[in-house]
Amino acid sequence: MLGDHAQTLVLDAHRSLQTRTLIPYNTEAVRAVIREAQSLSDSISILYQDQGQPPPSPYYEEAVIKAHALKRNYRNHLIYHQQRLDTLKDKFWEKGGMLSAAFGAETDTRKHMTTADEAFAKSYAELCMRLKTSYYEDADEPGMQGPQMMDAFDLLGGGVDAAPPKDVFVTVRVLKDVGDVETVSGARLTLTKGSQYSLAREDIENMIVQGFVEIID
Amino acid sequence: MFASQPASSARRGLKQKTAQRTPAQVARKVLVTELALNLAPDAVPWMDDLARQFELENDEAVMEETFRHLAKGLVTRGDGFDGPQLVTADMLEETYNRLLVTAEQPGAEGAHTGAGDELDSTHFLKVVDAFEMPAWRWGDERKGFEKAEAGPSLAPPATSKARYLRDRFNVIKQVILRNEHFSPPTLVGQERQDYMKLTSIKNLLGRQGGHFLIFGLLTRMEDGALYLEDLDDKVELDLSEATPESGLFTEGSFVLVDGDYTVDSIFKVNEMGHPPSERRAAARRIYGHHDFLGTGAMSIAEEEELIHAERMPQHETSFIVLSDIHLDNHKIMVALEKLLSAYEDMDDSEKPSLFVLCGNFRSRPFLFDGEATREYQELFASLATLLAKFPSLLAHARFLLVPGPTDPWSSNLLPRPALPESLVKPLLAKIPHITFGSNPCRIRYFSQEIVVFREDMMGRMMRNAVRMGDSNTEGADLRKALVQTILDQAHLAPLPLNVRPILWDFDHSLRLYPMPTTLILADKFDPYKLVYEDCLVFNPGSFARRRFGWSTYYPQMVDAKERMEESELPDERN
Repeated sequence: MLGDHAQTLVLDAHRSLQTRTLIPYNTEAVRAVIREAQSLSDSISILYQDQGQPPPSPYYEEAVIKAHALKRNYRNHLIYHQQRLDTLKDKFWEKGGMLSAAFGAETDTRKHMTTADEAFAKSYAELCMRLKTSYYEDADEPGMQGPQMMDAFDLLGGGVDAAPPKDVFVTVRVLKDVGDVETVSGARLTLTKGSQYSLAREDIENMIVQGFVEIID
Repeated sequence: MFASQPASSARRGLKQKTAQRTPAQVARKVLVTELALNLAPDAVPWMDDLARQFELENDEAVMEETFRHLAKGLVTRGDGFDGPQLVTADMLEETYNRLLVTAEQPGAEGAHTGAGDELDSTHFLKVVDAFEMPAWRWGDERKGFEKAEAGPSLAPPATSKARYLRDRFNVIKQVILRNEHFSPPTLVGQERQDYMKLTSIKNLLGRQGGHFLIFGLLTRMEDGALYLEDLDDKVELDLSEATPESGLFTEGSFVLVDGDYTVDSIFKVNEMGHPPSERRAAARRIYGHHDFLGTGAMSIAEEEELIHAERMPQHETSFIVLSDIHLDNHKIMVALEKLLSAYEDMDDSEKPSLFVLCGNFRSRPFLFDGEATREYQELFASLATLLAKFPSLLAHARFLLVPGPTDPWSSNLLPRPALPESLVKPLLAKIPHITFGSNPCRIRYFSQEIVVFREDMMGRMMRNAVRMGDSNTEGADLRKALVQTILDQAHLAPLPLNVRPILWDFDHSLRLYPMPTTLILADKFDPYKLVYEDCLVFNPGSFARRRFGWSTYYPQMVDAKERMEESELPDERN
């Protein structure tokens, strides 16, 4: 039926929105929608053969219906893809802007990504990084005074958790075998599963967001 | 209280420009604070070395820019997602080399070194062993490739035998369904009846008398009759009035069959054809993010950079492919020496960078006994002595040895492992750059994927081709048929297990999807060269056939047809 495939796409997008996950790319439906749009557009242009002159009555109505169907296909197609991109962006922010944590090989998101999704995620990450580092670069310009914004505030750092930290120091337990790590202060830690550390929050913030360690209260 | 130091030192650095930060501090600031990466302990010393090597340590701004460039390259590299839980020195090194490629691009903003000549093309020549390729299986649920959770095994469970055929079936079927001719029209109308509609064999049930198009595995059952089999049913075929389209139809290949389902529940075939194939570029657009070779996934943009790099004048090179080097034949050894000395005399820049020597390395098949083993050892020792006469060639070129069907150890299974180390010790001792490849093995050179397969394909495929009605294959071009069959089947061995035994779990290493750039089918059959769907296929032929002939492959050529030239030694009998 006309428009069925487009409907599938919207339902898929809705499902993705509700479950907050990336669902497998529905190649068949997307291709069907594109082909449907192609044949609709072909048949409309046949009806409009007389250089923009509206066709006589019964054909005019046919053209209107087809044009609406075409528009609907187009919108559903966009909705589906916009929802995909939004999901990818959410995942990226949730993991504090670290690609490997958000889209690593073992994540569910990654398993459902297509080539285009991966290209988007990478360039989006780069865009965010450019935004973030632009604050640093401005610092070198003459005339800038006072402490830099970025010294106090990491744009991606805390993930989507916007609550301010309570303590400067935190006690953490390691959840994953990561190996030797050097922190921003130059201190070396050996992260083996189950071990505990008390550290400055600044040092360990990334790893909390990425799920390497958890805070013990 | 050590933790509060960096922040305050950074602040000091910004406020009073005089305070000098060390490379290590800058590296930490850029990688950890800015880019949220985690560092392994060897990463900072590596960056420290880099800064000192290029004497950047006094210029903080340049240093920062350099590190940032490097780190961004690291994060956005091909397999960036799988990537670094930790940034290690090795990763930085690899990124550094890759960025040098980018620096060679015209108009690329001068990377920190600005010198593209430093790019070493040998870094981009990799030989991929069939046993080391990651196993990508078809996932029904996601309708795409999935990496197998457990690695392939030499003794897999019984399910593996069914799975490798299902994988082949599904990979080909998704190509068919993507083809325009097989897609149903979307508008109701006259054309709706005309498109090629695939019916599954199960759906033939009770529909005798209809005309159908079915797809499946061509196979012979216990009763000796030919059947077509798909994922859940089979049907007997009657080929008496069948017209084959181009190509060879072997048992074990997947074919499209068009015909009538008769009242006796036999499928009377009108036409039989190979599935459509998909070009490398088209397949890469869909599955470009999968790392089929295990050398790192490559995005389309990266691929373009590499293509540009491989065509740069300073990377012009050639690969020499020889097949059937019978080391026990004196004439061959003399000819080989002549050939090598001709290359030895060339200028360094013209020397080939890779020699592919395919087996069999002895004219008689290997038998598993002490004598044959000893003889093989001696043969490889004499090859080592011969090669050692050409020191400048050895310093410049790499050698790749691919075993032939009768080389040790004597097993018929594909893929065949590389020559055993115990036999080739003399080569390992004397030749600096030597690789022992499996059969088949793959060469990754910049963007190109070259499959090397030593097997007497032509004979084997011809012997197992299904004869049909009054079909006359004499006039047809056999070489074209062979090449088309193999590439359409997207598999190196579309044959039944009793004819061409394979390791079930390593079937993916024989898969030709996505299509390689170049396929070398080393065969004792006459040499040939064909381009099918943008893929260059050639056979160097036996070295000692009539004259001493071999193939030279020029990877930098734009036109696939021009990449390979056949050469032969001048006739010295008179």
